[in-house]
Amino acid sequence: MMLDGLSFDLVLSIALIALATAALRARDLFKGIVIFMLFGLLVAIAWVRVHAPDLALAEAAIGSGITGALFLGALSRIERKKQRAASGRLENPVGGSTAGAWAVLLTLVLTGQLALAVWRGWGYSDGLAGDVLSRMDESGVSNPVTAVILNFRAYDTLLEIGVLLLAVLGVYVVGEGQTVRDRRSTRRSEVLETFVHLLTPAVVLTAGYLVWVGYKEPGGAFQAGALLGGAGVVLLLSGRELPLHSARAVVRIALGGGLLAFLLAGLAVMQDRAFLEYPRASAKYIMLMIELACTVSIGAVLTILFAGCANLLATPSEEEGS
Amino acid sequence: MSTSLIYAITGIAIAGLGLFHFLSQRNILRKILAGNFIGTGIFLFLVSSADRQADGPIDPVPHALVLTGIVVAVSATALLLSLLCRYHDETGSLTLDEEDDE
Amino acid sequence: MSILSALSYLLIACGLFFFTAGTVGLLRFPDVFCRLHALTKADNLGLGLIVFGAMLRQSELTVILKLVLIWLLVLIASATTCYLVAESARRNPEVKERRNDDA
Repeated sequence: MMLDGLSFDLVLSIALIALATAALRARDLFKGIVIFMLFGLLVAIAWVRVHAPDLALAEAAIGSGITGALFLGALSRIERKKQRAASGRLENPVGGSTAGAWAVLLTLVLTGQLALAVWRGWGYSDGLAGDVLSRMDESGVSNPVTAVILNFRAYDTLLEIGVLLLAVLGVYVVGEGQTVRDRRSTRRSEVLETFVHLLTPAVVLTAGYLVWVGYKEPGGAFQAGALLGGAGVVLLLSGRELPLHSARAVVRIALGGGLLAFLLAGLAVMQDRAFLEYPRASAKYIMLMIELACTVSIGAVLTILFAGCANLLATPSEEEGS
Repeated sequence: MSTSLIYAITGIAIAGLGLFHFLSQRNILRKILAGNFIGTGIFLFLVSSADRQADGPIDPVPHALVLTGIVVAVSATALLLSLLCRYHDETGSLTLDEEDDE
Repeated sequence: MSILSALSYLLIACGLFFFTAGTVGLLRFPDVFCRLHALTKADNLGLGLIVFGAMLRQSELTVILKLVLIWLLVLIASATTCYLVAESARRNPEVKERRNDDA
C-alpha cells in the first residue's frame, strides 16, 4: 500500500515538473496560461497528498481558477491592443551569455540552498505542531489551521486582509482614467445566463457552508472567499453589471468589512485582555463573525482585482452616463 | 524516501524552474507567470516540511502561512498585471528593454 | 472482498477507461468540435461511474449526497463550457485552427 502511494507521488511530481516546464516554455502565451491552470489543479492534488486539504480547497479555486482568469483577462486586453504581439516567440535568454549565466547561477544557488536545507534538516525538528496542538482547547475551534489563522496568529491574518485592500487600492489607482471596454458589444449568451442562474446560489451556499465547517474541518474564510471571487469572475464574464466603482457604498462596505470586523473584534476584547486575545467561551463565535465578514471582503477583493485586470472597472463619467 | 520528501524536492525544482525563467525571459507577462511558479514551488516546499514525520502530528503553522500566502500571491499577481496593462497602454511595449520601446 | 467493494472497483475501473478514451480523443481528434465531443461525452460518463463507485464505499448519507452534487455541478459546468468553446470556435475560425503542435 505504501508503495502505491509513493509511486503515485512520483508520477504526480514528474507531471508537475513537466507541466511547469511546458507552461514556461510554451511559444504561445495563451497555451502557457492554460497549462498553468492545469498545473494549479494538479498542485491541489499534491496538497491532499501532504495532508493539507485546507490548501487544496484554496488552490483549486485560486491557483487554477482566479489566477488563470487574471492572466487570460490581461492577455486578451493586451492582444486586443496589439494583435498577437504578446504571444510572440519565446525569447532566448536575454542579452547574450552574461545575463543567461547569471540566471543559471542564481537558480543553482537557490535550489542548492533549499536542497541543502532538506539534506541537513529533514526530520530534524518537530516544528510548532506540539505547541499548537497542546493549546487547541484555548482556541475555541478544532481545526488547527483555523485556530492558527484566526486565533494564535490572528495578527498576521489581520495584516494580510490589509494587504489585500492595498492591492485593490493599487488596482483602482492604476485603472484610473482608462477607457472601459464597451460592454454592449459583449454577446450575451442564454446558455451562460442559465448557468450563472444555477451556479451563483450554489456557490453562495457552498461558501457559507465552508465558513461554518471551517471550525472543525478543512474550510474557512479564505476558501469561501475564493469561491465567491470565482462566482464574481463568472458573473462578470457573463456580462452582468456588478457594482464595482470605488465610490459605491456597497463596494466600500464589502471591501472594508473584513478588516473592520477584525479590528473591532480585536479592540472589543481589550477591556481585560490583549488585542485579539479572545475570551475562551466566546472565541468560536467571535471568529465566526470575523470569518463571515472576511469571506465577503475576500470575495469582493478578488472580483475587483479581476475586473481591474480585464479592464472592466467603470470610470466615474461612464457610471453617471449609464 | 517519503511522500513529503518527494514533494519538497518537486517544490524546489519548480521554484528553480520559475526563477530561471523569471530571470531569463524579457516579456513581463511571462516573468509574472514565472513568479507564480516560484511561489507555488516555495509553498510546496514549506508545506511538505510540515509533514516530515510519517506518523507524527502535522504542523498547522506552515499551512496557515501558505493559505494566506496563496491569497496574497493572487492579489500581488493582479496588481502586477494591471500595472503591466497600463504600462503597455502607455508605451506599447511588453519588456523593460530601452531599445525595444521605440 | 465483499460484493459491494468488488462492484465499486469495477465501476471505478470502467470510469477510468472512459476517462482514458476521452483523453485519447482530446489528443488525437482533428478539430475543436470532435475533441469537445470526446471530452464531454466520455469524461462525464467516466466521472459518473467513478462517483458511483466511490459512493458504494461510503456509509454516510451526507458524503454520498455531496458526491452526487459534485457530479451534477460538473455536468452543468462541462455542458456550459462545451457550448461556449464550440460557439467561440464557430465564430472565430482562428480558435478552430489552434492545434496541439507546440509543446
